[in-house]
Amino acid sequence: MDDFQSAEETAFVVDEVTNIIKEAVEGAIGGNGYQHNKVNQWTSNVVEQCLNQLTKLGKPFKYIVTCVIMQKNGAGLHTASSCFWDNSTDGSCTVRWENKTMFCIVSVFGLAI
Amino acid sequence: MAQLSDGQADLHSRRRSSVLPMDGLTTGPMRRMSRLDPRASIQYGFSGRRMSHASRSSMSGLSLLNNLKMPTSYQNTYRLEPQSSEKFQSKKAQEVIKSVLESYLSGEKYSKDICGNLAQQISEVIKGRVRELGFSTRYKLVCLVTIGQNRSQGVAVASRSIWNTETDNWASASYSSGDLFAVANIYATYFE
Repeated sequence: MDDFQSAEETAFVVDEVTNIIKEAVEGAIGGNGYQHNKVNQWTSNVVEQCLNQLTKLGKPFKYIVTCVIMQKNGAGLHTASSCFWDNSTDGSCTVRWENKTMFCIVSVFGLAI
Repeated sequence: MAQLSDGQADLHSRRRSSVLPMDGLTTGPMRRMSRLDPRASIQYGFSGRRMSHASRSSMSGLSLLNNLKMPTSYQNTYRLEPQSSEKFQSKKAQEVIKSVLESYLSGEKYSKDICGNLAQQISEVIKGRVRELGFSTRYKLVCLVTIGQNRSQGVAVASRSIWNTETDNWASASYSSGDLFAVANIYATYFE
């Protein structure tokens, strides 16, 4: 029976993923202010870092990670998603993060294999 | 095939020229005209007006009836990947996304009350339209739509995935006009 993973070990745990995202964003952007030439670097760092940590969980999922960074100047931003998947196994998690000069919205989708 | 289409033309001209008020009567002589198997043609009336494919359509009609009576059990396909004809094609998906974005957003102005709903609606529509493209039904789809106000601020949208590059794919399109911009991405992952 040791070979079998428990439900907890194979499920998409939102809290766990939320922490991963927050750490990734803090790590990549931290206290920096908005810099136009750095944004591409930051977005790919955030996404990469999230994926790194997600794979370390060792769960049977395919992952999709997206990151939006927008400079703060009073402009509005909306994101929405719709999915066609298995509700009982798959899950998603979105984190909104901001500092004085920018917004950062990261979404992770986990699709069971 | 030439024969068959001749017969078809015949049927059509017959039908148009007929002045008999009762349809049932007019189909009688037409059936005799047709060069198809007479027994199959008896089922015409049953399968509607599709004279050209008479025998074939009536056959499928029959098997459909059988299906209704008995649940079909399928054998395992042992297939681990989509057939090449059913693979997700980003180009087709991208065209769909583009047309949906344009049809929903052209002439629209940014308003914080509308855009939240609009983003949700658009993502639903894109997901639905992409499903109608006829890719394998075992694809799981994720559609993400971002709509924002354009005040000449900087925005960057990035994404990356861990998946099987052989089967899984994505498509993206963006739209911008006036004070509104939108980015829509769709991801398709094959469920083995």
